[in-house]
Amino acid sequence: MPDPENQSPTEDARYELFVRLFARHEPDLRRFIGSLLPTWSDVDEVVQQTAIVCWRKFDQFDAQSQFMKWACVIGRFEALAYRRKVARDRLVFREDVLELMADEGLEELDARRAEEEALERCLEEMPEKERQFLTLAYTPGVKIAELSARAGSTAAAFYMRLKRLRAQLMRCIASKTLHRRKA
Amino acid sequence: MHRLQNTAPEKGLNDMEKENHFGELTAEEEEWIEAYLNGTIQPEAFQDMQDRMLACPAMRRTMRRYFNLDFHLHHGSREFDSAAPPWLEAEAERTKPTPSRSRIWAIAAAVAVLATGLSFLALHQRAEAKATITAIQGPVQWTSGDGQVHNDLEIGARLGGGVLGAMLPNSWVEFAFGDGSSVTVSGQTTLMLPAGSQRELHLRQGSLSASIVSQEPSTPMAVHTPTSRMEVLGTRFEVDADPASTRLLVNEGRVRMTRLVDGVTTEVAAGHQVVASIDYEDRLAAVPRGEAKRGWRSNLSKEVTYGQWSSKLEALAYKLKKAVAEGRITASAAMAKYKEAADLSKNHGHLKTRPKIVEPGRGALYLVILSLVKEHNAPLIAAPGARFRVRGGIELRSPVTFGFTARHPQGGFAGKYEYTQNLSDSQTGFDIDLPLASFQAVRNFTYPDPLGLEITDWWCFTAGHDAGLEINQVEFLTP
Repeated sequence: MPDPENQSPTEDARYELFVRLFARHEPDLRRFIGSLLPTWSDVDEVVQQTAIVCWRKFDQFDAQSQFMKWACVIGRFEALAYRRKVARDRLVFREDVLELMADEGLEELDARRAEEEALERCLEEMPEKERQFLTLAYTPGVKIAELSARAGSTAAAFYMRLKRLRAQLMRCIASKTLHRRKA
Repeated sequence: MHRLQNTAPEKGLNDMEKENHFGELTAEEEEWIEAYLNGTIQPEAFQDMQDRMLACPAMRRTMRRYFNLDFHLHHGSREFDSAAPPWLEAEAERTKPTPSRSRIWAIAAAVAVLATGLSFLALHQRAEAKATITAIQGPVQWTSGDGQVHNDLEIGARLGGGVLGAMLPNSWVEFAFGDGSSVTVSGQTTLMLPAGSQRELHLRQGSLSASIVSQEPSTPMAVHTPTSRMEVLGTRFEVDADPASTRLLVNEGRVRMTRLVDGVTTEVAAGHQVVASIDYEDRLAAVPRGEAKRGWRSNLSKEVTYGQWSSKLEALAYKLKKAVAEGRITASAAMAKYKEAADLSKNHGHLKTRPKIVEPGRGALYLVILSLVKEHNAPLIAAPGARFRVRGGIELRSPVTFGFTARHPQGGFAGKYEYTQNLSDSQTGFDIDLPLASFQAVRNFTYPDPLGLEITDWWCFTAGHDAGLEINQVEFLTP
């Protein structure tokens, strides 16, 4: 931990380097942690904690190695630590499952990035009404049960529609990522 | 059992498709994944699912894909505050020595901003939405920041910067912000949402109910009206505004109100209300809500929010002028009659409907609206056996729709209720009783039965032509 009272130009340069590296790799790190934890708020918390730990340990980072791999290793531990913290009252994965997911997820970062780019295009191609439905379903604070009751429908029907749209998006993503790889 | 295979470039599209959705999983596995994503999975099923995941790499891979999709859809739906992120400014100052602890927090803030901003921009670059409509009824108009007028809003529509107008007394719209806060505007209301800020609402006129989640003390949500500014840190409250006054009722938490005319500020606690008017001779002081009441008699001149009020004296003056002009009476005789009537109370009179065009080419509605909260501190409760008694006149036999808005005693919009009756023209006018039980909820979004709710306004209208409808008095009577 650098001494706050003893800042030097070198320290500033390190800080600048860290921020630049982290900003560049943050989306990948987020994708990686996003594949381990179920909700965006969990992911937010773990990514923030990972950033803090990365900065604290930044003097151990070997400039010759890949920042992303290094940050993901830290992120993996932070996700496990977070899991232990919330496991009692939340449906989070067991440690053995989470570790497997993390190890394998680390090898799939490129695939995740391609899927996200494809998702953007798939959403654009989606009929406006379906997109609005998805947006609404994923809006924080919106409860499906209340929403369906208001629309005179059932929660089961809403979840069914949600399932169909997710599957539709997955098919679209698969198609686009395949075409991209072929190209 | 698990037939998903590793993805490989040489595979065909059909194979790829199968790998990326549920087509190749068992029905049970499909159900687990959906239930997990929806947050509805049962603990036992969750354990079974994890056992299966541990044994099956393909299922883990499918889960990661779905997690990735789910995660980005969540982020795409979150709020994006386009205000300049403070960490960027902090970065501009980077050359200055900064304590490491501050840097840690700057990093945390930077990550938070990146998280929200990048994901949002990636998925919704064009929308710049700040709120999502979660319920809507009746004609509601949205004028977006580029001046386009939309009359076809639906549930799920995203609102960026613009002006939202509920057009009729039986219209309302509810929308939710990304942080879970929600706002309902009801009746003839105009609300402006400034572009780029999710923490500012401008209520130009009408009624608003809000449930605001906790805000950062340094950046409270602000509600502006023509006569006041309110700062909210997380609370539930109601605001009724017109050009001359604002009434604030706080149901939970506290709201700081500033009266614009003199800058005087007061804090309003739960269960209290305050009125900030242009007439600043009054002390700006919050008062506790009064005891619920079960009866009401209209004071048309003070409670009207839409309609044309005429006192009896004004109506007499008009008639006398007309008679003099037509030579049916001399000017001095007319003056004598006017002086004789001059002791009439100014509060006696009638309310004529005013036209309102809702959609071009579809004629006008002729309507009258009364506010029951404008002049009253105590709520009016819809009790069993209650009825409205309405006296007035009509020149042409027409169907007239009567209605009222209700809210929950604990605060928050509850619904709108209507009843339509044919009224006949007659010399003596009409005097009708409208039992509460005959009023129906407007659509199914709201509570079907108004009993126990608080009545906040009353209206009536005729459609298509000016039937000469006027209201002399409205009462709410409970046995």
